[in-house]
Amino acid sequence: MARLLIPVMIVLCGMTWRLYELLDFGRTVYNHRPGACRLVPGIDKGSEDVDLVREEGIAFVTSGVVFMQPHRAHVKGKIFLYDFNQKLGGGAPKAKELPIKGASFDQNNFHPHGLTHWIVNGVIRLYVINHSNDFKHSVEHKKSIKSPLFVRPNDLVAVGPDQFLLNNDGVAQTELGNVIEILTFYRGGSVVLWDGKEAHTVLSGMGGPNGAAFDAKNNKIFISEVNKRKVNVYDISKDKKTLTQVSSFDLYTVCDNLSMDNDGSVYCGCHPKINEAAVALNDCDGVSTSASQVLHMRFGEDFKTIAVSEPYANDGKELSGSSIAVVHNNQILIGSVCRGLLHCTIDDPSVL
Amino acid sequence: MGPSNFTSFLFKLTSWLGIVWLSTTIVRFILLSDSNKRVYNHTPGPCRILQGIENGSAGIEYVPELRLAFISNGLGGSDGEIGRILTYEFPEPKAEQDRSVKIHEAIPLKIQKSDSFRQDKFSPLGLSSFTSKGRVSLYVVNTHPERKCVEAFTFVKEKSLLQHRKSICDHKFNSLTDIAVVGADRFFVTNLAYFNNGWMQMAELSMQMNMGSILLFNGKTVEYAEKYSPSPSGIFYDTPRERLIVSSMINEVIQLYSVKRDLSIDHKLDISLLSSPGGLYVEQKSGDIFASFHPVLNSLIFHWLGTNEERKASPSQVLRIRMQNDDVSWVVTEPYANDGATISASNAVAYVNDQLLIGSLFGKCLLCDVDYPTLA
Repeated sequence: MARLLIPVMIVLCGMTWRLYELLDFGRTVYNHRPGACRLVPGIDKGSEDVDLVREEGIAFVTSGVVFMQPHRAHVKGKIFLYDFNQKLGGGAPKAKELPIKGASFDQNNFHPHGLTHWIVNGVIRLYVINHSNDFKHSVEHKKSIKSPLFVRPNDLVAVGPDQFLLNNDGVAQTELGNVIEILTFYRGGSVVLWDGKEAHTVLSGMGGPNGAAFDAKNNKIFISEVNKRKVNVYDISKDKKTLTQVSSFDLYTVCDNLSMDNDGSVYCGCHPKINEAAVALNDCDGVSTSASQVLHMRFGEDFKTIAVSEPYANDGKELSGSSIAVVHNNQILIGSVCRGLLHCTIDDPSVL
Repeated sequence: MGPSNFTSFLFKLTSWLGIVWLSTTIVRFILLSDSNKRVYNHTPGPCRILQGIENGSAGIEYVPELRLAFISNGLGGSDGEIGRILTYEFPEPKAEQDRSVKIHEAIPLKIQKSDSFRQDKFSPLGLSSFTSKGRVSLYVVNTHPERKCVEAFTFVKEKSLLQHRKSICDHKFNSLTDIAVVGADRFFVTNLAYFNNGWMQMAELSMQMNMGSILLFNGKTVEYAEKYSPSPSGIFYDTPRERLIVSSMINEVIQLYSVKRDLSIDHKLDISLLSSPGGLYVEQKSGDIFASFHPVLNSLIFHWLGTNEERKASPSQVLRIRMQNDDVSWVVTEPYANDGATISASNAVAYVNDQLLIGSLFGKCLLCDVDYPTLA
């Protein structure tokens, strides 16, 4: 009996150590900014995803996501428009709340999450992931797209007209279920393709695929796997139905949503202290904050190597729970899961 | 219970205590080694390497009266390669429009031949200076194992020459690292550990035994200012505020002492930073403390053990600590961090006219523009 105690203690100690490290307990985040920053007024219930329409210099921001938190169902879901071409210098930059019209639109059950767009005949088509108050999922477009394969969608990326890849970051539908799913390392995440008519599972058994980005020029898809703290690069087939992994990078931080830059590099909003995020994202209307970080990944020609830099890091007091970063016109917009939207001016691109 | 039972009980007790001590030491060492830490790259603005420095820029001393930074060079040199001191002249503040065009070059200084100085036994590390009536005295820590001394030089600007005045040596100088001058021939020096170098020193530091010390040379004798100090690496004297700043490499704190008229020191507070500080610099006007760090200690160990041909990169980091008006709280920002690809093992720092000068233990010296001084 006593003989068994020592190996059991060693295993327990090992597991505690691993958990301590995985939850980022020993980690310190030092503050630094790429330039002068300020919060965009009017947005305080989140800016979880930001999608840039590069041709127009405008970005759409989703606000008011409610994810497995039925007690926050009263939070109003909104979509904002940010114009990167607006004149800066006369006070804080502005974002406009977009009115949503439509007979079948239910404002009370609108809690938008990830969004993407595709331009057809000069018209910007937006696809937005929505969670209703009772956590039913759909993708909102001109109509509501539903599918049993949309298990727990987080973000999506358009790969063609009326075609998108959607990430399910797990299977559990309740908070407790999610905690168990994460602690047991159950790989319940999947990636689903909507081809215009129906959904197909493209990848399964993943560790929390969250953010997604599409590099049309090089035919590459980038997906962040939050449970593994990795960003994966895939080749996408011509018919969009197959993803083949090219490489996987351990970033040692939880990367949330991804955005593409003009030169093929990828920006992501990250949670460097996941122990703080676990508390703060459950306390969105309270005082807890969580550290924020923006990473910039530049890929080698074969996409097998990356150079990583960190344009922004904060201990949570300026921006809490960053989830996305978009760079355009010497400005960077950093969105957070359930708080504000930060705007920084960038005078010298060497800080990116 | 007879005598043999008691001895076996004592034996069991001491072995268990020994195992407990060993386990805690091992765990503390693993935590110290930063095996789980990663460093992400970022700069406060455009950066460039100073030309003329390849194998070390481990110590930097800035003299505002001459706009000149003195840089120690040669720690990374192979046996036989000499240590040198180089200078870098900062441009006049108004000339910043030309910053992008200027070639940034460090000029080596000649050291005048003298009987008291052995050029082949010179391995400079920390430096400090004293300026009076236009004369600059440079005091350099010599880490050569046969010359554990502080070398005092007079700087002759017109000839780019250093004249050796004297060596201050003492048997208490075990593992000299850095120096802070407080007056003419009056300075504080740090002993990183009790053992000089090699495996004994590494074991002593790994076990975190706090056997380093801070010493004072008062013009005549060398005395202990602090007999047991936790691995003091860098030291800097903040003249306007009469404060001595000491960085503790293993305990990962920066210590502040107030210095009295008789040069005795009084410990005021510790700034806990969770990263290993090396070089220090205080900006005169604001009192902001700039420090260079080795954020991942296990990388530093591998970097240190390498040879000049092959050295594993070790991350670098610079933090800026701004003390608040109450003098007991502070704000920290991180102007610079690098995973080692640009500059490895940053060991010295200076901040002049919105430019950050960063020296590395065995490699090149980096000069960065700080685009937003109030933010970085």
